[in-house]
Amino acid sequence: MRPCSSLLLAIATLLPGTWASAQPKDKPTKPPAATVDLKPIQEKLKSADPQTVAQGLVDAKAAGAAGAPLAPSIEEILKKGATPPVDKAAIEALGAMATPSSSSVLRPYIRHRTPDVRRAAVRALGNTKGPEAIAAFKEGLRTEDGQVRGFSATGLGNLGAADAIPDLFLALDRSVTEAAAAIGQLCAPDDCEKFAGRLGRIGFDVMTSGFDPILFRQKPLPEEALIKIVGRLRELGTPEVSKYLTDVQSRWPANGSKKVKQAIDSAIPSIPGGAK
Amino acid sequence: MITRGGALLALALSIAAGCGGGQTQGAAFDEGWTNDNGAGIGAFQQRFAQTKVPVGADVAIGVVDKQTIVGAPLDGGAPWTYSHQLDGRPAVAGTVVVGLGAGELFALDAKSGKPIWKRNAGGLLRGAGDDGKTTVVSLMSTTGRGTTVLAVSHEGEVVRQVEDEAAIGVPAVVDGYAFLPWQGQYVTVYDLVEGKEAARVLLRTQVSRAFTEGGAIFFGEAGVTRLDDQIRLGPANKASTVTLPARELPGSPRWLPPGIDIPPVQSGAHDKIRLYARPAASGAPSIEGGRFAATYFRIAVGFDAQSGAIGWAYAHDADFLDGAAYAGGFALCDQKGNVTLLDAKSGGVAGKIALGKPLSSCVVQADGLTKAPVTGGPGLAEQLSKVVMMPEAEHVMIQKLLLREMAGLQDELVTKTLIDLASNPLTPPMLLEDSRKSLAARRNGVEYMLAALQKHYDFLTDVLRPPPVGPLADALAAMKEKRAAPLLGSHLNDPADTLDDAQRTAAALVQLAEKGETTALTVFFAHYRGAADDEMTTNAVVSTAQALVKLGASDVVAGALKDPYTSETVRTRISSIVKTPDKPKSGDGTQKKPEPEKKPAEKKPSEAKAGDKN
Repeated sequence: MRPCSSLLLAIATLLPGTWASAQPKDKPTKPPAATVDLKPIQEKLKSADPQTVAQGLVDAKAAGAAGAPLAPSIEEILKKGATPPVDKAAIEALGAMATPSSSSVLRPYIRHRTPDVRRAAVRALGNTKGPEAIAAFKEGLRTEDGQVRGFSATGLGNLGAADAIPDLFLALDRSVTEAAAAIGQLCAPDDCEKFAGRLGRIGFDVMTSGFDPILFRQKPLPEEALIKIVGRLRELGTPEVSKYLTDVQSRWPANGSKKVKQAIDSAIPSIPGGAK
Repeated sequence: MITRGGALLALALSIAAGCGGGQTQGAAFDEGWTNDNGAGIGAFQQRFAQTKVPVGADVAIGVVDKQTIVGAPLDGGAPWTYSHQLDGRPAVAGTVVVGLGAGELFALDAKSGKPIWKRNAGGLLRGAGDDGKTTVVSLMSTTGRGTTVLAVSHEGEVVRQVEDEAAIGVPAVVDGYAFLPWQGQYVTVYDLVEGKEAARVLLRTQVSRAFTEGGAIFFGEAGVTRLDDQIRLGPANKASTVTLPARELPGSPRWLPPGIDIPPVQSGAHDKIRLYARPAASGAPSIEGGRFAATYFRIAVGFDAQSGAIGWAYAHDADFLDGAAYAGGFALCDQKGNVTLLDAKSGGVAGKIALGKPLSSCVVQADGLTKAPVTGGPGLAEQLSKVVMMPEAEHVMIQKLLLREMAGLQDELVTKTLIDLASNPLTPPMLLEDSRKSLAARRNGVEYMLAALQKHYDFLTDVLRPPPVGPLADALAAMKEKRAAPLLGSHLNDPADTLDDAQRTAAALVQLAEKGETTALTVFFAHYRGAADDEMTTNAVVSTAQALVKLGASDVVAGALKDPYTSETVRTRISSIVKTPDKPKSGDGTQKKPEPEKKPAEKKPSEAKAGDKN
């Protein structure tokens, strides 16, 4: 099992828009694209000299979203293929540019035999998004590479691929811990309840990574569903649950459901060792 | 006229009356004996020829623990239980079970378990013979050297006690004559009435056991020699001796274990790895029914007694501990306390007898037993398939052998089994390699092959070992099976398949690919033409280049020739298969066909794993 810290890091990295990361802190705003002179980079990318191309890819990656016009040239490099280091640099550059059209070029690379290349591809797809990325993540969830599976689960949650929930449950039951957060992001009340049914079977730190997005959705789930979740946590009644609910209590939005808040407030003292 | 049986009874009665006697030492086992070239045993055999050899009970007895024996007749009578301390494994002979423990030797009726006699005795039990009136027991002395042979009447009287320094093996007794094998080469015919050696046979095959079966007397260990009119030729190694054909079997199983060994209460590997055969009681020396069987833990295999070819295989649910061959089959007793009767010809189950308790060891005797032939069961391919798929690790050695035999059968089921073995993550490496090799050589079972290729590694559905894509690619390409092309195309870029699989898939696509595979080939070529730093990847890239050229995508390959990212090894090899514009044309103005690339040789599947290209 991957440590929870890496899981949370992955979520923090790849889920910039989720409620989980947004709620306790101020929502980050996307910085405006800086003005970059793309012409010299373009020339480097077209060069016949591999070293010059490599430098061009580094520059393109540094340009970030502003380098989007360079994407077709970089996609061309990947379509023809190069060496694994160049492929990886090209993939990272496309990931930095976050152009949805790049997803179709990146997709085959999640099955590359070189682990660094396929992992770079699955990370980049988290930024380029789109239907091709979702399809790639669904494939990635089934692969032999644990990191690809983890990033794929996160990606599916991030991209709102609700139809992937059955697969995410299969992944979660096979120790893909990142699937918990993805399920938390995507689940409808019945699936959220099914997720809560894993309490006691799956590590609590993994489960909380799914409960957070359930409890703190931007568009909240029905009160009844959330109260059920709190009830499930209360039934488990461990000191960890008490600590977690106290944390949830402290973060509960002022304009959040009063009934859910009440359920949390009454659950905490009922747990042995919980706050009175 | 006083019969020998009557004389023996009289001797027993005189001993009972306290007249003493019956104790003999030495002479019968004189090592200074001069070889009489079979004259003595020949004369004895002529006198003895008309003596009827009684048929023994058909019974299995099991040792549950060091003080419990269970037994059951093989013809379906009620099972029985008897409690007595045991210092070793009991023996079954004739109509009795003989056991020894806590200084007491005892005999039970084999069919009912009822006590027949008990006597004080020391040492350890080697074995026993019985003719329905007298039981002869060979006991190793407590010092571990020398033997005590006791002849005890069913009335419980010691008819004769023989003590000698020789290690005397498992005896037989018929009509007052005890047959005592010793020193690995002699069988002394001992006259229990007279208390002296009546004759001696010298055999040239290892001998430590005497036994009766089917109305004849046999001596054996390495082979089995019948007491018949040829016995006089024993010293010249021309007696009626039968041996089993030498054939490769793991664990070096024996037909007859050494008769001077003391069988322990607890069975060991030598009991589980055994051979069983029934020597013919008359006619030319041979194996009755033409079949012998081997057990290897939970597996039983039937062989042709002349050629050694496999006739059947049987997968069981418990280790076999002992058995016996009967006319037309084999009775095999297992650790769970069941006896399974297997038909000698088909390996089909002819019957089952339950002893009722799990066993530490077992002893089976089948003499007059017969069962109706069992026909119409699964064929050899199906039987072997079941056996080679057994998951227990201890079977690997025999499974390897049976897999090789199975691969020689032209049955589509064999192809399926080979695919299943090669796809199962639990298959031991020794079998995996063989199954892949055999699969590549198959030329039937196409539908099974295509179905297998539809599967991929799938973490979510627990398909944790991909199908054997490389061997399937070899086989399907050899059969020119075009339907395989899209399936192979889908595997070409699957990193869960080994590099060996990838190179063989690519090689197959050179023959089988059609337009639909262009994308898969192009992707592979793009991804690895600059990454090929090993032979297998290079082979695969070159094969995809060949396939692309064949499909009219020469431009892709030609472009790679000029591209700085293409590895030098790849560039060198693909330069000969693509026609660059500046290359000269052949005399007739047409472009020369690319030289066919050499098909990669069969590689071991363990050579490279997916994802190891760091």
